[in-house]
Amino acid sequence: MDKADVLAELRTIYAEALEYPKEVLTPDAHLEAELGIDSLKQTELLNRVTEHFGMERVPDDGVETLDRIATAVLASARRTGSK
Amino acid sequence: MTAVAVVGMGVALPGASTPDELWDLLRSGRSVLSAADADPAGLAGLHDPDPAVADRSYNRVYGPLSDLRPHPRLRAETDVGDAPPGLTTYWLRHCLLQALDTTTVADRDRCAFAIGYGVSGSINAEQAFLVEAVAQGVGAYDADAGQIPDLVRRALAGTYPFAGPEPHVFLPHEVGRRAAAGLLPPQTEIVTIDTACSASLYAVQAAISALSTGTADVVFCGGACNVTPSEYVMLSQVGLVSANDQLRSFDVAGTGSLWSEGAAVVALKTLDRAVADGDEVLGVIAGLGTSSDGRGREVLAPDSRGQALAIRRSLESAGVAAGSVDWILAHAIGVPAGDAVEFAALREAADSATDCLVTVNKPQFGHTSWASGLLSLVHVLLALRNETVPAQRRFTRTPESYRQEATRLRIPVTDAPWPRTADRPRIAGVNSFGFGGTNVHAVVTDTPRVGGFARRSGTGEIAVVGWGAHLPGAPTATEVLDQLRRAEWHVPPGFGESYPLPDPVQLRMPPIAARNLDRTQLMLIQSMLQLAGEHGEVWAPFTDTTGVFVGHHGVPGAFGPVVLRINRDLIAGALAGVTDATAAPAVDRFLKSLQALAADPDETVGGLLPNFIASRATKRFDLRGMAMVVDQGIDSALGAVHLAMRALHTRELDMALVGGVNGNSGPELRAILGAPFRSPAVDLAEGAFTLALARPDTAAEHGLPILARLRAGQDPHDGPATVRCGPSAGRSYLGGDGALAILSAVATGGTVRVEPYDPAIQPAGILVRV
Repeated sequence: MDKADVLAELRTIYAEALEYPKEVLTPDAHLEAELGIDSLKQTELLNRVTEHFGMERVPDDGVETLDRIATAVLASARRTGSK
Repeated sequence: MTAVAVVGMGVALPGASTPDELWDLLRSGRSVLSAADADPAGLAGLHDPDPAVADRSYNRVYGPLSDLRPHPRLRAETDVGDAPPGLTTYWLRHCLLQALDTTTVADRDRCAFAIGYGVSGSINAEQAFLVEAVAQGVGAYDADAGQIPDLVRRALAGTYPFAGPEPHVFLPHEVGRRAAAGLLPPQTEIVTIDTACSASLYAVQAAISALSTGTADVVFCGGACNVTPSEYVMLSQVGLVSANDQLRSFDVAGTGSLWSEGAAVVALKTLDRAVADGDEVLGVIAGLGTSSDGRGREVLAPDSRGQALAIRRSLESAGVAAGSVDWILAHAIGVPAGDAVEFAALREAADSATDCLVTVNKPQFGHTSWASGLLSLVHVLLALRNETVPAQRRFTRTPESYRQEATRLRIPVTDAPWPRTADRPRIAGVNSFGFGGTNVHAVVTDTPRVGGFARRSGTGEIAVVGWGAHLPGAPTATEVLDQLRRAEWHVPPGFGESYPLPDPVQLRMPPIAARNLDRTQLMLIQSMLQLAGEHGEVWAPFTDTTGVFVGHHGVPGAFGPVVLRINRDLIAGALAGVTDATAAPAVDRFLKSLQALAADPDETVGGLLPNFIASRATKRFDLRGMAMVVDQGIDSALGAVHLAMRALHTRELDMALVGGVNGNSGPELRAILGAPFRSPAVDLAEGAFTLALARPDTAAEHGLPILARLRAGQDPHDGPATVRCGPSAGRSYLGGDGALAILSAVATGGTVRVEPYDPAIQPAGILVRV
């Protein structure tokens, strides 16, 4: 799975949960400052992401954009794969 | 420069009916929260220890104010049945009387009374609203309602004892008027300001604007609130309430906040006047700074950048270096995440080379929300007098994440001496931060040699450089002007049951969040978007110094269903007492409708309370000037325009977005409003209006076309045409009426006097020149 695939799936998850049109969810949009996603919702969404990718929990810090979440997901996949 | 002196103070807090008793409380280390066995507000009825239970609070500890020993004059009024109705009104009057005891007011003085107050902080208003909502709701299920509302009111009287027979007397503008009746001159300007928890220190901002523009000679600032069960539940549902019976600020063991009831009033005048009058100077306000967080964090989350901005602005306004501040009395309500943000703001704004004391009074006082900023100011004045900084109580150590050891911020756990000296001023800072990122910081000192405020004329013209309206049917600006000119409406009065959600991209908010906001919050933003569409983003060059002032009157529409839902078991219990056979079917159907109300998982208190109307707009447009909601009854938006014009005159702001909004046209609101709205001839209408205001020189400098010029006050020779604020062409937009009146004047053209609806309201009007 490459980053574009992960981003596409993240966009689907976020768009469905927030009812945002997908095109708003650009990789670099700041989720809280630009898209108005509060921290409770973000925690809930990260749980969903973790479940979806069957991975260890993405930390809540440092994942303020979808791009950064995708990076975290890929890093987690690498760690899991190398075990 | 003019120094502003505090010459009077009054307080009401559990266990402290006078400033001296407040000092005793501070020295004793007692907490008003620990003795909360009494429960006059009835929190026990909505309590469930399980935090997962919806519509219940997991705690019930608070600081009820039930032991007030009223000022002798209020005691005498009470004895003969002349005291004003409503707890917060009574407490404000008590505090105002105390402040007046040491404040000389001459016959010719122009007085003002600015009060930090929110309708949701009054248990009387909340219960009056609940009773009417149920009475109207049950009545709606019976074709010839006749007796039913009265039967319902009687059945609910035991459960909601604070409701009273006349709901409108509990609305904010009436609270201020009744608290001051017979104590301040009849021409006193009375205005209530809601910025949530920072509101009463924002009243000091209003006071300084009024004094430095020469608009008033003596200004009384107040703040008061109850703890209301429904709001306690709303705060509990977002996890802000303490998990135990303690409030620990900045402490590693803190778990959340606990709320208390209270009130405070201070009297301010220029130092020259204080000296001339022979009034004792209790302290000097050397500087004051305000800010909004703007974009960055969501609406319930504080932002250290916004808080540090208010502190820096305040120090700049006082001409004081951070290193000269001896002590900061912080806001820190005991919620771990919020306290950490405030500590970060202090770290950012403080001097890194000089020790500065930091304390918080909330572990003892509880969080008195609307009153808290002024209670902190009084706390500092008492510390100046007694030459002691009281210790912070219930404090062991800060969490490691604060990195306190890398700062010079010191939290004293024993009282610290603070001696008066001839050569060095004593300087303290007071933090007050509200929900939505409404920040204010005041610098207080013992000598007029520090700081002060530039005197500015308050009578100059202010330019209207843009306006926008948002109404059902989405009329264009031209269509709105045309309807105003003809004084006939072609747009429907309301948006109907369900408000059409704006485009989420324009709103920058997910639909799941937007749908949980009271429509006023969205409507105001829409009116600003129309303004931007017609005139451009006129605020763009000054986002740091653009403020938002919103006239709003009444209770937001979204508040009703939530409060009814939270209270439904209590209501059902009370209505079991309605035995009248003809009423039973309507009662039954109404209760079923309450049972059908379900909480949306994304509902929060941030969607419900009026103060968020202004702060939501600062988030959307990334504005960092002050933001407030103003309630002056039907004249609310005119009050907002006056406050905005002064903040422009003093140059605290370069632009003000001033609006008025009403989004509630329901019968339950009509039932609690005053006389004009009892008549079915007046429709309650929904709409939002925003005017962009700037000083004419600023407008010229930035090439902003001037659409009209506004000036405070009125001169009878100033042209024949008048527009009166208030219901027109059969409708009232309540809090929006004042903005609409100004737009009507703009539509008329020439020179027009806009007069307040209520002839007793001061200032008496606004001159509009096109």
